Amino acid sequence: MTAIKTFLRSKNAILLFFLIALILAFAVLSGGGTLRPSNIVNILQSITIVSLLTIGAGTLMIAGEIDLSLGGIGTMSAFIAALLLKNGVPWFGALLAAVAVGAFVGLINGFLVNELGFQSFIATLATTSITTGVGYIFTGGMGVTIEDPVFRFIGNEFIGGYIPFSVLIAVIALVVYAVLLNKTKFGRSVYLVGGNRAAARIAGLKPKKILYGLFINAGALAALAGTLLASKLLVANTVGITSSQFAGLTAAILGGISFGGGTGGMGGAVIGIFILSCFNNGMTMVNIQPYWQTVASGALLLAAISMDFLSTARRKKSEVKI
Amino acid sequence: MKRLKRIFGSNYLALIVVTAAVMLLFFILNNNFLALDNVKNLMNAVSFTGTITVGMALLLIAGEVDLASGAEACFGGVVCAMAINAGVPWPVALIIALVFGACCGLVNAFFVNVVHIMGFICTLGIMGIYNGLIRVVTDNHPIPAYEPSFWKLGSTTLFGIFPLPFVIMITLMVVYGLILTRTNFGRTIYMIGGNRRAARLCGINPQRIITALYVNNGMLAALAGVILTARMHNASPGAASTGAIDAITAAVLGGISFLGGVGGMGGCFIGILLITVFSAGLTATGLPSYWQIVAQGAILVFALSVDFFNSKARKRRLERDEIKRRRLHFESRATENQHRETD
Repeated sequence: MTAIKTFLRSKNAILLFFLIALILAFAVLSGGGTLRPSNIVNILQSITIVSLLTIGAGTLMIAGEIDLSLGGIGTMSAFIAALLLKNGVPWFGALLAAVAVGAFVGLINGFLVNELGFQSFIATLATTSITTGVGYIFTGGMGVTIEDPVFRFIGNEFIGGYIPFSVLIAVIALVVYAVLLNKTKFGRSVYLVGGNRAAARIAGLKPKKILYGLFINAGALAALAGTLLASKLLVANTVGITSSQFAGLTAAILGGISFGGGTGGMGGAVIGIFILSCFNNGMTMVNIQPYWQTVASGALLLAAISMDFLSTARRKKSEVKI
Repeated sequence: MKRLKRIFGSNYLALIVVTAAVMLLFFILNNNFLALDNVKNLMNAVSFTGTITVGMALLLIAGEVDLASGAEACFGGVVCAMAINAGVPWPVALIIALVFGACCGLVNAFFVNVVHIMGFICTLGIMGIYNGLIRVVTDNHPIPAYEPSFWKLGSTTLFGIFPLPFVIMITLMVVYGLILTRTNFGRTIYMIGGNRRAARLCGINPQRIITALYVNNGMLAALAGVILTARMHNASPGAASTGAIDAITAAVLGGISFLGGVGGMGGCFIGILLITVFSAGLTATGLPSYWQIVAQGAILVFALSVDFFNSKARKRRLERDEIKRRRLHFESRATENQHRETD
């Protein structure tokens, strides 16, 4: 009973109610269109990419850093995978190469932040333009089609007729990272690094090493997300996952992962991901112009951060009372 | 003599040498690079980034940043073009665009000061909103601004060499350079960037100054967009997508630290010159435009690395001075004690 009570008072409960309200609102507005099975499948498919990005961006934000280059990394890696496939490399080789390239860019981000002391957002802004440009150079700005049957299976096949295969990847990833963050020493040290880096160092942790790990992890996940999108569309194009990157950030913030670092988790992030995916899908179903959708996603990001600020302010106030 | 030494000892010299070397390199690669027409083009290109950079530089010195300034420039141009199409005389349209830019700045300032969101993340969200709104308003097509007297704002040249936009930018840099170094207000900007708490304890209101800087930045960005519109005869929705990152790169190259509190307009000017020459040179050598995107990121990393090593050297110098001071202090105390003992 008390467990239910504490849940109802938590932030996740508010988010859950918000999600349900959102789903109902769009269902009414679209005349039930959003609740059709085919559309639910669409939502599930879009969730895969956003959740991989959310995990990468979210774990970094818990440690007090940010990565804005995830879109660029994913887009470039998808190109690399598609080009390798075209040149006769087997599917696992192409996938592995793409993820390795993503991890390498993550390593560069970590180097810039750890060793050269750049602020992470400006360092990753720079790597964004480098990775985007490299992607263009590889392909001359043209899309690269994918014909590999395994990629086609990963991106477009359904299990039991309804559940897209790619969703399994997202679910496994979310569970693994939730366990990693909550139950392992490494996970707890991520929170400590984000909450108070000096204290973490004094406690014998190596914040730099942890940050390297997280940046590399985010890069690899972004590469995976980019490759998955390409395998769904059967083409690697220059737009890639650049627009999903902000979706990843927004979902993480919505889910209670604060910019200051040290708070939040995968549970909230999952609700954030669903809110975002339903929101985006709903706007398309209600026939809102794509440009207005850009406006709305920006506004949602701002609203999420503002909410984050208000809740931390309230927390601080209650701490003062105690 | 001392003054000369200071100039040669500073980082400006290295920057000037690099800029000259880059110019020479592109001149060797393509002999038309320094032809009069191309130099005019260069000055025009410099003026757009430069005008945005002036506002951005002030923000960076105060320890803030505006990632939406490219979008604000673009929006300013669009607003101006729409006003002209509605039959408003162009000076009024210009003022409308400037006021609009100021309002954009106020929005940024609201989120930074009142909602306490970090500048870079709220302006990132705002950038997305503006980019969407610009496309809604223009339907993703360039808006023509047919008004020959307005075009003169972009096409007039002074003394046959200097395009008016370039002259405007230089004027702005001189004026803001003087404000930064000679006025009370300018010095408080440095103080806020260097140590905000100390500034508050000195009786400065950082929030008010940051609001002023954001408003100023929005107006300058809008001005840049209006001049670009006058030069191109239309306002294109994708015109200024890289404006903000170019401006940040130029400012940081010019010695304005990302952490706030240091730098000035002189270095800024050379920084702008360097990045514009670089990207124009890449075009002149016939490389595909994608290389420019890569080069942009690479230059930014380079600029930040230089900034990092500079600040490290500065810190080391300060530490060395501190050690020296302490040693002197210690020695004087030791001799004092000696005297006391002999007494």
